[in-house]
Amino acid sequence: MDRARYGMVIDLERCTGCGACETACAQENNIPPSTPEEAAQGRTKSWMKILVQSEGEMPDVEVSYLPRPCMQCDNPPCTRVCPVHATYLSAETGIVGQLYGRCIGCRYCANACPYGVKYFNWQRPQWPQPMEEMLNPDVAVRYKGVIEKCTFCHHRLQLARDQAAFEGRDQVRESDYQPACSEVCPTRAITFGDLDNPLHEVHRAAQDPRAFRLMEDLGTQPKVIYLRKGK
Amino acid sequence: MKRRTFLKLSAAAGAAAASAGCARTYELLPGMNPRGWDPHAETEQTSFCTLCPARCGLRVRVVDGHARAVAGLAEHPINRGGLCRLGASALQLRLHPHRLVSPYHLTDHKGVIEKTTWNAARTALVKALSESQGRALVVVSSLAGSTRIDLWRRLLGEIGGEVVLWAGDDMEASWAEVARWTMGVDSPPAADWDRSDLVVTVGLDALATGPSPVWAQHVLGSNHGAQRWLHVGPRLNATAARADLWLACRPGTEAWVLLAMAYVLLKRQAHDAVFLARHTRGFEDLAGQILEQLDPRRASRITGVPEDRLLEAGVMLSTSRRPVCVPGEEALWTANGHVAGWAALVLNALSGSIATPGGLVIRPPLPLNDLPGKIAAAQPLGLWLRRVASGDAVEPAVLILDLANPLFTFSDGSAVGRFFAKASQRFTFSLFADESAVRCHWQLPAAMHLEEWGDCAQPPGVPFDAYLLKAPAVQPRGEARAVGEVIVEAAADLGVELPAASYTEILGHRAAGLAGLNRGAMLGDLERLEQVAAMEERGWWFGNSEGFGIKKLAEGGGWADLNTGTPNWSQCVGTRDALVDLLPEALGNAHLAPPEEPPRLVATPHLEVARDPDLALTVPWTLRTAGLVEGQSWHCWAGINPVTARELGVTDGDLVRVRVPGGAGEELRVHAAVLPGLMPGVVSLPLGFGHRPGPSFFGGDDMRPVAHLIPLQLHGKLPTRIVGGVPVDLEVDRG
Repeated sequence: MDRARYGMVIDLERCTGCGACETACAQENNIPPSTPEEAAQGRTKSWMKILVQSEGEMPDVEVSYLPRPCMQCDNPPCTRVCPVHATYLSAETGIVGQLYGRCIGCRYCANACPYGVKYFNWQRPQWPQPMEEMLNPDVAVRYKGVIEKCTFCHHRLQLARDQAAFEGRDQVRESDYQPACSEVCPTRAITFGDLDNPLHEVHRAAQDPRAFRLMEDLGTQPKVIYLRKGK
Repeated sequence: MKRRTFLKLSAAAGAAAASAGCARTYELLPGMNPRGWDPHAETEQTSFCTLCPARCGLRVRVVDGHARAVAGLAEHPINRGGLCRLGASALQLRLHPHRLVSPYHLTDHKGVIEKTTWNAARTALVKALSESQGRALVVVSSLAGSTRIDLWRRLLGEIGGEVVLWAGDDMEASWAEVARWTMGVDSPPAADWDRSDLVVTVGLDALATGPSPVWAQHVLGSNHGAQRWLHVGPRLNATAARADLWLACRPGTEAWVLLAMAYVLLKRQAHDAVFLARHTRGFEDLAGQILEQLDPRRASRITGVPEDRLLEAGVMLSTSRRPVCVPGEEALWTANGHVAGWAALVLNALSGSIATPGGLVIRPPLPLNDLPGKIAAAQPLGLWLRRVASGDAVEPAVLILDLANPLFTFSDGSAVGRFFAKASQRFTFSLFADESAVRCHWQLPAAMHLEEWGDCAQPPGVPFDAYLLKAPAVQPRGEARAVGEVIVEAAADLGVELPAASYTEILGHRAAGLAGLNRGAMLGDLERLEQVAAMEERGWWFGNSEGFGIKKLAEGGGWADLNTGTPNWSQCVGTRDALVDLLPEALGNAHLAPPEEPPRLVATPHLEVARDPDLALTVPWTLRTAGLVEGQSWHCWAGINPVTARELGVTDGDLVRVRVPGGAGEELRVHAAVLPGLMPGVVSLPLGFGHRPGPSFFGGDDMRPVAHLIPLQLHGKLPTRIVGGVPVDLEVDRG
């Protein structure tokens, strides 16, 4: 298989803050529902989270939405601080992975991440019965005491590779591998693919003059790119 | 024991265990590995969502007979792969821990319920219907355009009785009433947003609550940069946030914002004179009234919108080629709701946007095969309640609810409650033991949308012709049953003639009527569907060689014609002279008598999450994505502008009392949410909270909180309880 550098472009001018990406992500990645008690302690988990900001006063109030997955940095601060190499940058895909079996729950990575997208499992994940029946068999349920994060739904990449191999192809097509958030987005605000592949839509979108990255000055080189006029 | 012996014994025990392990079959989940089990047998099933009227196409991933994922169907012309957060939560609804999965019978008036069987329920249903003497009433929710409704109508047409529909229609009653006054049609028209270059939403949160939110979002996304959006309403909702221009007005004054825009249109002579001369009456009088009495300066005083913004909106309207204006609940559910609906229709008429591409679209019914025999009329619940009040309809002896919870979702739940008490036999087919279900004698578990056959002709809010059909993706949970099958069985017991003996065959019989259409195509290949539409647009004859077999239709998800085109004018307008009446008699001079002196504080209602508040907030992830868990607001709240909050001494999160001064309604005790995106002097009240099986706002009495607030005498001419624009008092609860 060829190497790729998977990334995401999110057009903030198209995003309506509908929340479908949050729900689809939770569904796809077996993220348990939160309780009000967990929310009060600030311990909810959302691999994809829409941040809402309003500015101005009536009648000139503006609302902006910012969908925030893991930034999948090319220079990720989280991997450097992990004492057991449980979090790593894949040279093959560019995806920042998390090995739950290796994680010791020190939470150094969560503190090092400037974007706040690494979540610690304070409790054993639970679903009200019989909701366990809907768990995605392709994604492991994380246990108490480990960190978890957005993976760009890399289990789908594995399925896409299997399918490509089955069909005798040595390349994964752009449409074969899409994370749940970009697949469900009704306004097509989220574009996903190989940033280095000029045939992929995301490659072209990343060159848009409106493009910017969150906290670029930190040098983390995120592979999640946002589009908005005036940045 | 020596170490060597221990190791030998351990090795032997390990080998025995290993060989035993090889011989047996492990149970991964209890009861999931019967003989012939094919590990990881995986299929994908096409379906559609019924949680709001939009009917988005779904792709259901089924592994070992269990639905594991629901995604949007990319080949579906309505949602094109997209979904809203409610649609994406379908599996949570299916597996909700509070779901009703067995039939129950309320045995006495003390509320003792016991498990029963479907056979006993069916016998009781048939007995009650046969003894009802024409006093049966079926209330159906959210299933507009389905054969299931037609089967109820057929059943009651034969034995006597009435079918009423609740699908948020009480909030849209004013729009439907305006359509009757001006165009002589019973159902409000859909809007062709996709081909419009200016979408004007009036109190309608099109992107969040519908009527077809995913379609609206698709339109916004695909026409990005080429289409302008203008929103009129007191609240910065999702649509207002994305609009190119938001005109924040006082609740109940939306009509005069639109009339000010009409003023600019007329002054600039940008109205469609040819259309108005050919298809309308009353234009000259109306134009005179607008130009003489409703100028933007006066409208600014009435509405609170700065005059320059009204002029800017008027210029936007007059420079667009295909504008379309659609009103929604925040404008329609006010005392001036019918004026707002009328003004929206007038704006469309002045722009020539009725029955044209990019304008309001009236779609005639599809030629599905009819059910034979007598068919009972269907009507909105609000209209039926009004008929009962005036003695035109009899009170029901038998009440049947089909996926409806009118005690909670209907604006006047207490009126529905009175009929509950009078009906001696009450049946409900429900997903949950909700507010209405617990008051029924027979609580019967219904299959949800992934678990049953179903269809929908002409989904509301979508501007092209479509007939959608779905097969069950998974077995119903527990003892839940497809209601369509139960109706067919009851019909057989009552001797009511139907075209086939099973529900599935009846669906096939109806769908076969599409075979002679010679237009459109079956779903499953979006590219082909678009090619067919393009050919039709160029006037090509398109031979239809497809067989409309139910299996083939269900595989793709149905049939659609994207190039619905313009129907005959006679099909669009039902008035005697086939002209749109711009000044209907029923309107009187309401448009010339705006509320000049705004009260200090007024209420505005709004939907949250999705159009169907009955189901939306039962879904945990939907709650979370709505920000309700993070915001710790599991209950209803009262939104208030920061300036008004300072004046009243209210801070964010305070417990406040809201009541209607001088009204007979109860007090609403809620937390205040200080929101910058609200008009000063406005209290916004979300609908759909305090709902079972989630936290209950009013404890034992579970009707919609807003229904407690607004007294009955505010009904006025409309069959609904008015909320928007009602003066309210708000004070901090010091107790």
